[in-house]
Order: sequence, then structure tokens, then C-alpha cells
Amino acid sequence: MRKLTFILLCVFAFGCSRPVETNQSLRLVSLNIPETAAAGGEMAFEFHISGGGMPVLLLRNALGQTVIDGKRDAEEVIFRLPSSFKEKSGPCHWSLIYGDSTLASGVVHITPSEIEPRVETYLGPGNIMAGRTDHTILVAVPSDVYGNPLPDGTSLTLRKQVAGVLESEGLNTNSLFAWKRVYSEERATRGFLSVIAEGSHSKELTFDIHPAAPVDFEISYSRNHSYADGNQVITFSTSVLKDPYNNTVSDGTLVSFLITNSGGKILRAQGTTIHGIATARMLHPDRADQWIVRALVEGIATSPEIQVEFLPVMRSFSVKWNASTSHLDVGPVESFLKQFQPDGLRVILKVTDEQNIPVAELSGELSVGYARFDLGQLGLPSGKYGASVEIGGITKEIPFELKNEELE
Amino acid sequence: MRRSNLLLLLALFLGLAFHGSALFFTLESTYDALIHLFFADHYASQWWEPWDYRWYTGFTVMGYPPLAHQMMALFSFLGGLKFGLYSIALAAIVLFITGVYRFGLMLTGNRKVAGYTALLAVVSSTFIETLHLFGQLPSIIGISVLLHTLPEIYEWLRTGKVIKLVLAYSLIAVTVTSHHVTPIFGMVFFIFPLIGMAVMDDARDRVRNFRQITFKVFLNSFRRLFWRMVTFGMGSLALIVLCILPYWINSKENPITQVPIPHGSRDNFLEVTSSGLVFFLIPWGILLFLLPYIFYRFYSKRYLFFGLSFSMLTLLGTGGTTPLPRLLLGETAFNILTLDRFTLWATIMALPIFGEFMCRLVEGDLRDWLQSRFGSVSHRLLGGFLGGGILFMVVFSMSLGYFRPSQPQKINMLPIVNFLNQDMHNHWRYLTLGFGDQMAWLSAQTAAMTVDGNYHSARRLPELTTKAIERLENSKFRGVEGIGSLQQFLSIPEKYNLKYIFSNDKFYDPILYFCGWQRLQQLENGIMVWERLNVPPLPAIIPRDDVPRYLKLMWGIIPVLTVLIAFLLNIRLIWARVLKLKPQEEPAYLQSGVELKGFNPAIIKLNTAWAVLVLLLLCYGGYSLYLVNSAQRSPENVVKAYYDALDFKEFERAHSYLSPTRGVSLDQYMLEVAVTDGILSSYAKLDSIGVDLVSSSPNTATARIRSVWITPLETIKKTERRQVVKEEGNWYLVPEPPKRDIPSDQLFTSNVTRYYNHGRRKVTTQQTYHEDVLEQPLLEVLTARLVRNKDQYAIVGEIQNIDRVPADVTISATLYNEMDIPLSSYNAKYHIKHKLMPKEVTSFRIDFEKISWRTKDDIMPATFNPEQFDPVQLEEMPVKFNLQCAANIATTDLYKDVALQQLQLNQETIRGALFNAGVQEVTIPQILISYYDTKKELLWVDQTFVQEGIRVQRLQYFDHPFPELEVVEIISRDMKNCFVNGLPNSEISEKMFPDGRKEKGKPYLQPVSHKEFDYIKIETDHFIGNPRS
Repeated sequence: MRKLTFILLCVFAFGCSRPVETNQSLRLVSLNIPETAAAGGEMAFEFHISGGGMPVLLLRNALGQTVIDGKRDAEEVIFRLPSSFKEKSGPCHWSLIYGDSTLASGVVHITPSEIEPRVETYLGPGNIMAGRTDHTILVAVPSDVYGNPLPDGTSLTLRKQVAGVLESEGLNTNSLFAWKRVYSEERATRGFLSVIAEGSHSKELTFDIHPAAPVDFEISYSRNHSYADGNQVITFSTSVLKDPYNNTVSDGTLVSFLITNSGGKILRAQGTTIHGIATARMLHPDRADQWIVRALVEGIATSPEIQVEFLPVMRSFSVKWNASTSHLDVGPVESFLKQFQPDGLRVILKVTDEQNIPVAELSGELSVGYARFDLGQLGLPSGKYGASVEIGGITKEIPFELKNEELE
Repeated sequence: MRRSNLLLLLALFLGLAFHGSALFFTLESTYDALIHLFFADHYASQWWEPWDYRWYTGFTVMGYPPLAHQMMALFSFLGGLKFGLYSIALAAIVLFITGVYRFGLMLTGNRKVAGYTALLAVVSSTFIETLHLFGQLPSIIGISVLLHTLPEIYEWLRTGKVIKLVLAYSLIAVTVTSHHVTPIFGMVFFIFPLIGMAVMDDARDRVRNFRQITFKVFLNSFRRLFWRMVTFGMGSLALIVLCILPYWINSKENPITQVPIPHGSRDNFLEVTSSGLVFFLIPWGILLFLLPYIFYRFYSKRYLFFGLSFSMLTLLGTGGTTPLPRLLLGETAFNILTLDRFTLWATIMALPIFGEFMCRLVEGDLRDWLQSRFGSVSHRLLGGFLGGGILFMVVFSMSLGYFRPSQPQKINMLPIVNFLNQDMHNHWRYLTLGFGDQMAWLSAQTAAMTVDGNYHSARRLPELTTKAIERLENSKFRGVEGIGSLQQFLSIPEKYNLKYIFSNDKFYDPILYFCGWQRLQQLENGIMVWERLNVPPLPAIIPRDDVPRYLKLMWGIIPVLTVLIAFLLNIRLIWARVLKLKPQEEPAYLQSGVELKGFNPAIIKLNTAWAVLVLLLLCYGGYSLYLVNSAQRSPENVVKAYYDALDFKEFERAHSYLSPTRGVSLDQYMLEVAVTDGILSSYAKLDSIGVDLVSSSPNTATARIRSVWITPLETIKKTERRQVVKEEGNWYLVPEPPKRDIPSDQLFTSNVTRYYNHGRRKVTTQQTYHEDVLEQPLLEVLTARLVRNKDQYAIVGEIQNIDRVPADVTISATLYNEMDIPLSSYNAKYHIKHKLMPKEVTSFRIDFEKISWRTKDDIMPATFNPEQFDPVQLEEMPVKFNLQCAANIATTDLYKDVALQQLQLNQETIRGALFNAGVQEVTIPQILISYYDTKKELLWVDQTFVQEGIRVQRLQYFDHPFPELEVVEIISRDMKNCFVNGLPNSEISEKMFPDGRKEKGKPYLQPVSHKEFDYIKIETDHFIGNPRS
């Protein structure tokens, strides 16, 4: 019984399957298909067929392939191409297929649309150096409204405005794109470019021409007085730094000022340019000195040397030893107008023992013309010592005796 | 019967009310809770996938049993992650109290005692600490469930009822899936003694009293119960293996390579008193006073095995105080385990005995004895003392986190989360600094990845596993290893795609700056974002370790399933009990309890003596603490106290140690403090201080102070002399004279060029338009050579920004041998000015560091030294090098207004002064010195940080010793393989300077008469801590 049911079921199942259709009845009578077409236009493939059944259309272009269904109206079948096929330029292969057999096949050559062409452009680098050698490169790819590249030989117009001068020239595409070296000018400015195809618009392309490396320049200085008081500030500045084409160098260019003092030491200050002028400040030295100053943009430009002289602020000062409090009092220290030397000038004290061997070195600062050292706190054993005090390059020596009762 | 249940109910009520409400103020600032929250977030977002990319460049969550995390994740679907966290924490409280109750009931066989035990569990300082200070939820759940298991095991052993075995199995499974260490050690420390007790009880039933139990009787009982033990043992072993099989497989395949990370529980508690407090005094709490009683009870015959276990746990919990724990556990286990868990278990084990004592004191034989012997006052006194002690410990341990916060202030994460989600910032890795354990909470809220992480057993990068640091995030607390490890990540961030750093601690600012990082913006929650240019984004596909599907399924299903099964099994019994569906059978352990009668007076005396001793010890500890801390008792103390106050920036306290008669007012002092800046005053941490008196008299003294300061950049050793005076019985420091320097101008002007980069001019979610991408500035490598100084290889050279815009420079170099095989590669770190103005030149030096302490056998230096430099050990001689320079437009940190003045040179040192001519205060000046030979060829580059900052229009003096350069050897001068922004260096020069450069013999070089070099060049770079805009 079970077997019988199974067999019956199988028979029933087979009976339900769709009968294999044959294309015997279907026949292509005629067709109406263009050989070429412009991209984007309405494209419908018409076939006249006789017999029952519904064929499909297989399409293949550069993007891929697909099968589309048509609409049948009596003996006429119409296939409307989807936008991915009708808007893509290049060959579009088609085959009309019914069941296993291909009823007809062919190629439609789709050409780029002529409405509203557009130009895709790339410009780089966007920053170039003034002069005649540096350049930026423009690449332009003209295409139609659907992004299909326009054929080789399409003519484009390049418009360029640099420093108020308008230029225009033609470009032709080759291998679907056009390119051009845009050379720098001598003047540092911003350049504007546009590229258009017939009937198109262009976006604004810009590139900047920046000043080239600076050439040699001059320097100067200014200060409030010429004394070495270790307090006032001297300002060095350059002339306007220019490149060989008379452009002022870019803001921020670093200029180093090298100062060789009379001891042969090279001091250094630096400044960055604003509108071509770099300034740098330094403190007056705290002793008489002769500075030879030059500035340079390392390895690129330099200035001639200038000389700056600093005069001594004083000739002498007094030092007193107070044995009862173990204090060494320095001062008064007077400056060039007999005024107190400004606060903060360094006072260096070196203490030597009887054999002239250094035992301590202290530094202090002048305050209202005086400085004081507490030698009791050094923890030195009682005995005779020598003190040498140095201020602004002038040294005073004084012997003193330390009696420290608190120490055992 | 009714009374005991009431006590349990009271305990539960109090427990939930007290802990449940305190949780909301403590749990999020504990060490561990947020880590568990992060894991929970992992399961909530990807239940079946064990790989998490967010920490440590990817790690597997199979390194930690998942149950607690998965339960949190499940609850988080109802009300968010934190809801999940608190729900599980509340469940843990209930489980703990009931668990301790059941353990007490089983151990003592007395409901009343068990009720007291439950009440004491609520207020036990060990539980408070574990929950409210450490936040170890899985550990609490593990031990609680284990405590629930014990009565079932006992029942099975005594009665042989299969249902009891099944119940025990079901609970063991839950324990295993919630915490792996608990069942393994719990087996040894809880279940073995339990088995011992069950056998003892069985033997007791066979004789008339405990005295008659001989070894033979015991052995007979042991034999009788043997197969029950084996059945249980084998079954639970199988469960331990099976339930978290993926964990075991993972441990085998990814063995923990992490070097031991120091943990306070391994310290010598007598030396490190803070660890002693946290890991010994607080968990033991009031129990300390009762130790003799506890031992006495545990060493009675019935509890003998618990006594052994308890003694062992107590001993192991003392950490490094004695060498015994190390000997017992072995070196490896000692260094991996955190030993505080032993103390936790010991104190939990002692709770029933404590409960018994309290019960006897409140209403038992002890009360009667005390009242009859000393009258009721002494009884009340003792009760008051114990009650007061318990209360004190509760308040003390709860408030510890408040007075000594272990975590930084709570950070509002939303701005950071938003920042990471903006503008594709999550396409790079990030790093947090100074977030504490809150970094886990940030990670839980974002999909962005960090190189750091907070579960160090899961680390994979050798840079981290070889360092004994907890996290990069708090590396300053781990000295040389910490900062050293952080430095490697900061110097070569491109290796880890690390671009953003969120800094909540200014301490790290200098190291970030000098490693080439720049401040991007300050978020509205005060967190500073630092970024590094020239770091590539993360690749779209990141490698990971995959595991077979069955393991993922096991990991996702079994843990929750164990809970379901245990719940269903137990709920049946609870229902039966509550609804009294069938007559209840008395559990076996209730029949074996010990009768509490006749308190041994000897133990009372002993315990009293002990308690007095403990009190005396505490008093002595307090007194010695006072002696050390009383600041003005001696000259040494006042100096130390002054420096301590400076270290913690408590300037008012520091001022109180200055001599009041020497006339520095607080206002004046604060003013002086406010104007000093620099690495020493703003970024240093006092590491050690030594004070010795050069001279002293009864009222004055001169102290020589040798201090060592840790800064993010280097260790600073300082020696200075200070005078100390005694005034009105107290010692004071004599204040230093203030700086007298007065700048010449009150107001002055300075002009600088400032830069702004729009980023994206077009607002779009797509890739930045190519017009909006700034071109990389052009650099030129002027010289580069491979040199060897002793055993250290380095590349030294000079590089110039030849573009018109400021450049941020990254230089990385690779060394090759004869066969063109790369040997080592590193980036320029401190020896370079990372930001160059147009046409500016910097010297640079690239050192080749190895990943420090790659092997465990390498000796770690004992003290902190961030400059610690480990030259890479090259197996072959490098002969060639490749130099890759990359520049990006820099718009910040372009301060150049510092001049070099008053230069003096001798054979040993360079001295000079730096003059700040601009309008920004320089916090840390850096001096970069290049050394040249007679032909003006570069030999070496060296740098130093000036310890004090330079105020505007003022001088700062510096002093730097010359390095030893006798053996510098130039190995290669070949600059063929130098590239700038990927282009050959030679082409750049030809294009920019077609007529050649204007070289006029390097006039900027300073001639020096020194035997090892002939010229030097001095350059400066400056870190500005608080830029004015």
C-alpha cells in the first residue's frame, strides 16, 4: 500500500511540472534597432515576432551584463533599456533569447551625449615657487553629462589668470584626457585656471606662486643706550628679505643672528620674518664687549657683518667684611649716571683658603645697588680666607677671617 | 528556629540597605568594577565572539570566566550597562550574606550562631573592602556560591543522597564559571577541610564523644565515605574542566607571558605600612583581637582540618612579611597570585567562629561566666568595646576611598566619546593618560581602540608583557619601566596607529611634547587631546586569533546554563521548604553541632592578654607615626616636611615651615611660587631625599639636602644647602632670597606669524577632498651619517625645512648589514627639534633602542631612571642605513624667541644663559648641542633639559657637561638612501637650489679647543606648558 502511494505521488508530481516549451512556434519576423545612438536618449528595441511565448533580451556593456523583460503587444515586443545601459557610451551588445536559442543578436554603438559636457580637472601641486622652472600640472578629463569620456581630439579651452594677465589656449584630449604643465611666474601671487569644453562650465582651480629662496640682505640694530648693564634689550632687524625676483619672502622664514663677542664666543638669537623683516632681541651683556653681528638664512642667504660696542657701566665698587655677623657686603654698585645698577645683576663670589685653593663659589644678585653674602652658613672651619667678588667683569679681592664659635 | 530566621532576615535587610545604597557611591571608583563593566559591554555587543579589538591591539575575553560579565550584559539589555553592574552587585550581596549564613549553619550546627554570623558578615571589614574598595564582583560571587555549595557537599558525604550531589555539582559549576581561582583554591582550603569534618562527624557518630575518636576510628569512617568523596571529587573536577574549557584551552595556547607586576599584597607589611593597612589590618579588622579564640576553636578536634586550612590561609595572606608564603607557593605562583584573596578567605572562614563568640557573649555561656565572675559592667564593657570596634572598622574602611581616593576625579566621558566618533577619529588608536581605572569605562562606551588596556593577563604586545606595569595610562607610578614603556609607544606611534592621546595629567605633557606630539584641543571636560601627525590610519582588516566554533558556543551557552540549572534545582527545594509541601527533614549538619557550654577560662585570659598586646602594638604604631610625621621636632624633619609639602604642592603648609622671623609673608611666598615654572617645579615628583647636617648648634644648623626627583623626561639629582633655625622650640627653614632680576620693559610687543589649517573646507562625511589636503612641506637632509659611540649605534645629521610653511618632522631610520638585511629601526625622539619654521635647521640623532627587558632574566634596575637607555644588541655590524623623513604642516608650538647669551666654554662644560625675548613663558627649555671635527663634519648630537623655566624677558642659566666622544667612529656617510616624504633627498636639493647652496664654511659653528672635537653648534627648543593664545 505504501509503495503504491509513493508511486502515485511521484506520478502526480511529474504531472504537475510545466511542459517543456519549444520555440517551434516562436519566430522572429523583423526588428527595428539602431546601429548607433547618443547616450541618454530613449532607447527601445522593437521586435516583430510570430507565435506564442515571450523572449528576453540579454544586454552586455563595459559595466556588466543583464537580462531584461520586454512588453508584448500582439506581435510586437518592445524592450526599453535601463539607464545603466542607455547612458554608458561604447558598444552595447544585445541578444534576443527564447528558451535555449538565440533569435537574434547585434551591437549598438552608443556615443557620448553632446548635451552639457563637463570637464573633470585635477591640479597639483597647488603651491609652486616663483621663477621659471617650477610648475604645476593640470589634468582635464572631459565627459558628457553621464560621465562618459568624450572622444580623443575633443578640444578644450584653458583660461589662466595670473597677476591680472589673462591667457587662453586650446588643448586636445589624447587617450581620453588632456594635460598641461602650468609654469610658475616671477611674481609671487595666486593663479586661477579654468578648463571648459564647448558648452560646459568649469570649477575654479587655483594655485599659489610663492616667493623663492631669499637673497642676501642687510641688518641693523637699535638700543636705548650703549652701556653693558645686563638689563636693557637690543633689537636686531633685517632689511626686507627678497627673493631674486623681488618678491618678499614668505612670512615665518627663520633668520639666525650670530653674534661673535670679544671672547670669540658665538651667541645666537633668531627671529622669523613678517613682511620680509625679521627681528630678534637680546639682553645687553653685563660687561663691556664688542659684538660682531651677522645674520643668515642657513645655507641660503646671509648679511654683511655689523659691529656693536657696549661700554662698561662702572669702574669699581666696594666690598666690606663684617666679622661679627660673618657677612660680606658688596656695594654700592653705581652705573653710568651714578644711579644704582638695576636689580638682578649677577654677583659672583669665590672663596679661597690660605693656600689659595678655592673652597666655595656663590652667586647672588644686586638689589638696590647692594649684595650680601652670609659666609657663616658655609660651614667653613675658622681661619683666614680670601674672597674675590666679580660684577660685570670687574673683580675685587678682599681677605677675611672667619671665627665660628658655634662650631666645635 | 524562629529567632535564627529573624536574624538572617535582619542581616539581609541591613545588608541590602547599607551596602546596596553605599554601592552607588563607591563601586564606580573601585579598582575592578569598571573592568568588569567593559567585559560586560563586550558580551552585550557580541555575545558569541570572544575577540575584542579595543584593548591591547586585540585580545580574547576567554582569559576570564564570563558568568558575572554575561549576567551583567543580560541585565544591561533591560536598563543599560550600569544597571547590569548594580544588579549583579546587589545579587552578590544577597548571595554573600546567605552563603555565610549557610556556611555558619553547617559549621556550627546552630541556627542562632549562624544568624549572628550572617549579621557579622554584613559588617565585616573584609567584605566591605572587597566590594567597596576593590570591586571584585566575580570573586565575591565565586566565594559566595562556594559557601552555598558546602552544606550540599556535607549532606552528600554524610547521607549519600544523590539529589545533594546534584545540587553540589550545579553550584560548583556556577562557581567555576564566575571565578576560576575560587574553586581551585576553594577545593584545597574549603572543601578538603569540609570533607575532613564530615569524616570526623561520621566517626563521632560511632563513638560516645569526641575524645574517643582515635586515628583508627577516623580511618574507618574515611574508608566508609571514600567512594562518596571520589564521586564528588571526580565530578567536580570534570565540571571545573568542562564548564570553562575554552578558558583552559586559551591559557594553554596563549600562556601568560606577562612579567610579574608588583602588587601590594606581596609587600612586606611591616616595611610598606600602607599595604599592611589595606591587605592585613582592614580585612582582619576586629577579628585581630579574637585570634586566640579563633585558633582555639579551629584546633578543636571537629574543626581540626578547618584549623589547618585557616592557619595556612592566614599565613599566605601575610604576603612578603615573612619568607614563608614565597617558599610555600613557589616563586612563580607567589608572583602571579594576588595574596589578598587568602586573607579574604581566612576572614570569611573565621566568621562563623566570630559569630559563635558573639552569640556566647550576647546570650550564651560567656555572658553567664562574665557576669558571675566580674559583674554585668565588664560584660557590657566588652560588648561595647567589640561593638564600637566593629562600627569603627565599618566606617573606617568605607571612608578610606573617600579620604585617600585611589582614582582620579570622575571624568565625564561624553566629550571624549563624541570626539572619537567625529571626523573618523576612531580610525586611529587612542591612549588615555591619568584616567585610572576609568579608562575601562571609556572603552566600554566607544568602538575606538586603544593600545592600552586594563586586564594585563591578556596582553600580547611584547612592549607591554615585558614590563611590570599595570597600564601605560598610569605609567608614572611605575618608574623606569612605566615611563620607558610609554616612551616607546610615543616615539614610534605609527607602529600602533596611535594618533590621539587624552591626557588627564599634566605630568605627561613634557614627554609628549619632546616625543613630537602636539596639543590639538581641550575638551569641555578639561581633558587635553594630543595628536601626532604622520600616523597612518588603521587598516580595514586587523588580524585576530580565531577559535573553533564549538568553543565559542560553549563559552556563550554553558555559564548562563549553569545558573539556570542551579536556579531551577534550588528553587524547587526552597518552594518545598517555604510552602511546607512535605515534612522537612533536618539536615545532617544540624545533628552534628557542638554544644556550647562551659567556656574555658584559660582561653579568656589568653585572649584578653592578646587583645591588650594588639592594642599596645597599635598605640606604639601610632606613636612612631607621630614621631616621623611631627615636622618641626628636629632639623631633619623640618627639611623633609618642607620638601614633602613642596612635592604635593601644599604651599601653605610649606610656608608654615619657613622661619616666621625672617619675614617672608604667605602672600609673598605664594607669589614667588607662582612665578617659578620648569620641569623641577611643575613636573617633578620627589623620589628620595637625604638630609645630613653639615654643622649644627642648639639653635641653628646647616643642612645638606640631597634630593632625587623623578620627571617624565629624566631623573634630576640635586644637592643644596639650607639653613635651619630653632625658634620658640620649633625648627624652621630659613627662606631663600627671592630673585631680584627686574626686566627693563613693563610692557612690550612681539609680532609672530600664526597659522591656521581649515581641515575640511567642504563639510562632508566622505574622505577629505584632495584640494583640502595640505601638501607636505619639503625638507632637505643636509647631512646624515651612521656613527658608533662605544657600543651604541646612532644616526646623526642635520635637516632643514626648505619650504615656506612650518613643518612637523618625523624621522625614522633603519640599519642594514652587508646583505641588506634590516637589523633595527627607530625614530628620532628627544634629539631633534620636531617643529621647524621655514628655512630652519635642526640637528638630529636617532638612537636604536631595544624593547627593554625582553627576557625575564634581564636584570631590572631597582630605581627609577627614565633616561635609562638600552642600546639594541645588534648581532651583526650595521653598514648602511635608510632614512625616511616625513613632514606635515605644523601650526602650533612654533615659539622661537629664545636667544643664547653669556656663553662660556672650558674643557668639561658649556655654560651659558638663555634669554626669553618673546611673550610666552618657556616651561622647559631644551638645548641641542652638535659636535663637529676639524673638517666641520658632524660627529655627535647631544641634548639637555634646563631644570627651570625661562620667564619673559629674563635669563635662565644652564650648565652642561661635554659627553665623552673619544671613540666616535663614522661608519657610513652614504646619503643615497635618504628620503623626504617618499622622494629621494638628492632630487629635492637639485630642484630647490639648481645653482647649488650658498655654503660659506658654516660660520655658525663655535670653535672649541677640546681634544675630541673642534666645533660645536648650540640650538634650543622649548616646551611651553601654558601657551597664551
